[in-house]
Amino acid sequence: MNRVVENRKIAPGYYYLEFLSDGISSRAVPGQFVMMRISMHSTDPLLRRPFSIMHIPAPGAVGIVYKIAGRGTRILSEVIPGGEIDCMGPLGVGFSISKTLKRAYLLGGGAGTPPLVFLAAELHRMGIPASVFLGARRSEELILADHFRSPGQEIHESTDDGSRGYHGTVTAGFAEYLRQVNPENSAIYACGPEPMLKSVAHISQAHSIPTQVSLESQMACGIGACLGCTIQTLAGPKQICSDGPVFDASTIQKWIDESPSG
Amino acid sequence: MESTSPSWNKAPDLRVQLGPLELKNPITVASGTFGYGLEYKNYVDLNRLGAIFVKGLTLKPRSGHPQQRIAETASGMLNCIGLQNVGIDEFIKDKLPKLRSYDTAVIANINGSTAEEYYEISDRLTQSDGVAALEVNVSCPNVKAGGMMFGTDPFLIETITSGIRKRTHLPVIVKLSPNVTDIGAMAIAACNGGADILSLINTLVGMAVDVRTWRPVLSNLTGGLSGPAIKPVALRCVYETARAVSVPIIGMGGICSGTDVVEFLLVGAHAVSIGTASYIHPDASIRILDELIRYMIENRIGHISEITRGLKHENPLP
Ligand SMILES: Cc1cc2nc3c(=O)[nH]c(=O)nc-3n(C[C@H](O)[C@H](O)[C@H](O)COP(=O)(O)OP(=O)(O)OC[C@H]3O[C@@H](n4cnc5c(N)ncnc54)[C@H](O)[C@@H]3O)c2cc1C
Ligand SMILES: Cc1cc2nc3c(=O)[nH]c(=O)nc-3n(C[C@H](O)[C@H](O)[C@H](O)COP(=O)(O)O)c2cc1C
Ligand code: FES
Repeated sequence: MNRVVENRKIAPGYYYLEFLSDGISSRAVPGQFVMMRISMHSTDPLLRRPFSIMHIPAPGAVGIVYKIAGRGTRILSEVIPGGEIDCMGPLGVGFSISKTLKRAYLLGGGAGTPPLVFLAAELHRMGIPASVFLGARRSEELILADHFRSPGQEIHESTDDGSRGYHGTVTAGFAEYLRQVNPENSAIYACGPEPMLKSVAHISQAHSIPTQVSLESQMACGIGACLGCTIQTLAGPKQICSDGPVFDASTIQKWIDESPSG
Repeated sequence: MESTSPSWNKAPDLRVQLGPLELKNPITVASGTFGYGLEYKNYVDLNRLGAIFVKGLTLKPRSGHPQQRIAETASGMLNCIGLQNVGIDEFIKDKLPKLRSYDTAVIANINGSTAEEYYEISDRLTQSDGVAALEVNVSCPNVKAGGMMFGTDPFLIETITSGIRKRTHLPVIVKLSPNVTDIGAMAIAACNGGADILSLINTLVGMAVDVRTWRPVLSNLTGGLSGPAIKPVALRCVYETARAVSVPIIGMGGICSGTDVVEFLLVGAHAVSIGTASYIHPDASIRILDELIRYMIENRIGHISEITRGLKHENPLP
């Protein structure tokens, strides 16, 4: 059981939740996630829900940001501080960061932004500069921008409706940006909806930039046992929960099959 | 006091004899819900389990169905994994040696799209070291050829069972599908084919629909329903099977607690499998085992077999 210390709305449809867990707090690395049981004494919702770890606000504490997507997240939004949830984690294999990296490009779309906060903090600690690209449908849904303001980090915002920043998708804005820079010794880290990640994979392929994406899937077990979260890769079927959620974008079979260049 | 304490004050005897197969206790984990066992080694003391039923195996590796494979439903879940597995060679080479180091019975769940495939897998496993029994899955709802087709036709069940029975010295468990009108008839067919043990139920065929897209939620259109939602159906199926045949039964379907286990034993099961519950709590099987032990102590039950077929009714189980 994990005590909830904070659970509040941060934007329309988005909540920040902080809970206590020594085990998760001390072991988590960026890109890892937790499986959260929401109803403690009910079989409905039955399965745990996966959420990326957004940050470790203090030793012993863990923060996540979630979007109301359905029944489970709606019930979660009603948990009051002092109440309890049940979290398993940290799970999965997170982002890998090469020590020789000169610059990281972080691309976050909507509810895919939270793990990038944790990653940006780690990059900052390692002294690697980062250019962060955040996208949402409209300005109210551009979340967590304030968490990417460490020295050495620059932020580029975009909205589909043009209400803030670049008018268009986060990937279109990033593609334009790439034309003006030399991406040598850089790497892309992306998390967001699948069409966005696919488009990032194709951009990075065109520019030969190593790219890691954090994928999502319906999950039952979260530990590689149910085989519900399989993604086909160049190295065969992999489990998003235990082999990922972070994958090298160039290994995802369906994106290769749909690649504009072949 | 201590010396005169009746036998129920001792730790209850949990050993079960399922025909030729002896298990240290009646709590096993169900095929497909516990991976190859090893995925759970950080969460569960595998040595405490009565048996591990590994993920359904096929002759060749299978990559399974496309996404989406899982949909949650009211107190249950649908899956259409499509028998993704590493294939029999990799299982024998990589998984089995690791599993052998644990003190629990490893039971292989075997699948084929033809009778010959079942026989070939059965031969390969019979020649390997460390398999305690074969569970013949004639009831997977997620593969088109074979699987369900076999499981809904008593003639095919009997043919496959007797074919495997003739080729192996290992105990043969036949896993029955609930998606039939008369599960007792299927049980009789499996026993006529020489099954030592029956396990049931596999998942119930179900469906989920997305009202935003008007499309089925699962890539394979339908999937298998499991979890607490199916427990009443599973209990009825075990009961009907126990009326129809006398071979030992491994009951499953929605078990989440020690008292759920007692219900299955009362309607005729000799052992049980924990399935979907392991997703919610990876150590569910061990918690359930401890709850069962507590129930037995509280109710002064010395041996687990005292519960099996104990249902009180005007028309008792034979
Ligand atoms: C590794 C991982 C990390 C994630 N991190 C975050 C995060 O940091 N913040 C956040 O808001 N969300 C995150 N998600 C998505 C989140 O798990 C789902 O939004 C949540 O499970 C929905 O639950 P629900 O009961 O509210 O919705 P449901 O009623 O179950 O479903 C509502 C909608 O959400 C979709 N959905 C359900 N489960 C998932 C899932 N596991 N992954 C993707 N979509 C799903 C359904 O297809 C449906 O469209 C993550 C998912 C994964 C796999
Ligand atoms: C994701 C998933 C995969 C399964 N795979 C198999 C399988 O490979 N072979 C098999 O015989 N049964 C399989 N089953 C069925 C279970 O072994 C069990 O019969 C069923 O889930 C009912 O038990 P439960 O309600 O406790 O989960 C699977 C079930 C689930 C949920
Ligand atoms: S969620 Fe079960 S294997 Fe990934």
